Amino acid sequence: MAHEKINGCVVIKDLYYSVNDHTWIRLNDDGTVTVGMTDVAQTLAGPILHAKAKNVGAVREKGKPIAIVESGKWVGPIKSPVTGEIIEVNERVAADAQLLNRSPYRDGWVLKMKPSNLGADIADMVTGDAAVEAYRAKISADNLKACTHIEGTDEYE
Amino acid sequence: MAYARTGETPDTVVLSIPTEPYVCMGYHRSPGAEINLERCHSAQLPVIRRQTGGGTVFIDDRQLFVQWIFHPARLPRMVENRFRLFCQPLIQTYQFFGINAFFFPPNDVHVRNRKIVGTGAGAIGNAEVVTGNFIFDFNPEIMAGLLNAPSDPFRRMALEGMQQYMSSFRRELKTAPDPEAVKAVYREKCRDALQATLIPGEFTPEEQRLMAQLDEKFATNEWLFEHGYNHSSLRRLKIHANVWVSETTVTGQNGPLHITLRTKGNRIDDITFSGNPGLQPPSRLTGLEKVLTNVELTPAPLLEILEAFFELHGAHSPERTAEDWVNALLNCKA
Repeated sequence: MAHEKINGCVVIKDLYYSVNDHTWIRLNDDGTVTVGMTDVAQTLAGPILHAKAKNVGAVREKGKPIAIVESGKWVGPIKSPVTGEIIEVNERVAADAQLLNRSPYRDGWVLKMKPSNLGADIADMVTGDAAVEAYRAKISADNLKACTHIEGTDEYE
Repeated sequence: MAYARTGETPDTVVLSIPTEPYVCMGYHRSPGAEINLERCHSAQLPVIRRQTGGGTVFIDDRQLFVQWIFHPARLPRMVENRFRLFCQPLIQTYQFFGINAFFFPPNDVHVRNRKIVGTGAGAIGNAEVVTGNFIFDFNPEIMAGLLNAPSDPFRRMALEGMQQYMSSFRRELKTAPDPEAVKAVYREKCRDALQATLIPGEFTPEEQRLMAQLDEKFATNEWLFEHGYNHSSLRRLKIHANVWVSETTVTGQNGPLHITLRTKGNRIDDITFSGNPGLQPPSRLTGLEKVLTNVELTPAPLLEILEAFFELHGAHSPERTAEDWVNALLNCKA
């Protein structure tokens, strides 16, 4: 995967990012999108203990919670980067929530959605070099010194 | 208040003392998994599931709750740094009253190896919320009695763990200060920590409307049982970040072996074998529990102790090798 590291935080270039919500989507060939949380998000949250996604079939608007995660004693939502229907939930994450920490861009994807207005939703997102620059600015603004990675985290060289 | 937040809403600090006792579960907990709902019902204790994380706690009017309801941009982004900032005025307030409290990462406040503040946090509505409490007094017997403990040893270790590793104003000072005095000192320390002026405020009509609406939602069984009902007994209980009680069962030809452990860091703080341990002679069991206490929970020291004990006391367990005992102990901790 083409990627860049900013203060140790991995940004995969072929994903689309909602930088403020720290989520990403991957465009699948069948018109669906895979949704996940970013390396920065898992760093800010810390080791995640529980993750519970909304049910398959639920229709969510962009910006509404599609999953709730708990790390240590913090609970917060993963906000939907697109409007659409949830068509698949990653059961591996439900069974092992720290997969979100160890593999935010590979095995730790959260769910898949069938977007209903992808053209408009994606217009607010960034990808490629623009995503790298947006994250560089965000990491600097948030004064994030470095991303932290627990044992077993995916390697990106 | 978090849900009612708008761009104009000032950051808000709430100080409150519950008027009635209740049991409060963390967001991802299932009723039945940690506490015995029938006992709560018999004791007329309401059970509430909160929107922040953590375990299940018994709450009453001997605790003063502090809640920060802030714009997300005005709190540290890293959760650990957020807790560190939040705990600072709590610690300084305890110190003002003569208690040598200190921050215990990632999110506790300790005094003399004992936890004296419980904290929680969450992104709620348009706000980031951090909560914690001053503990004026604490009755471990009530909390231990409500646990859905799998065995008597587990309940005993939980009770003794809370007695040993939890503290309060009363425990440290032999008396509890006036809550109003604590509030006054806290307001000062909070102002210093946040470098902000604190202005007394009232709930807005919109906040009151949402509070009534959410009170209704949080009282429903749909909310309480959102994550299902867990019928299995508790197998792991956190006393504080460094102290846990756990229990495991190992099957055997002559019956199951139950291992109940309290760990402090990576060491055995207390241990009980029950069921059918299969140790010969059985009279050596207490001695085995004794020698394992304070031992590091890693394979090499455990194996060394077990082999030495078996040899020294002529003890043996036909069903299990020393390695089997080690694996069972490590499995209990995990």
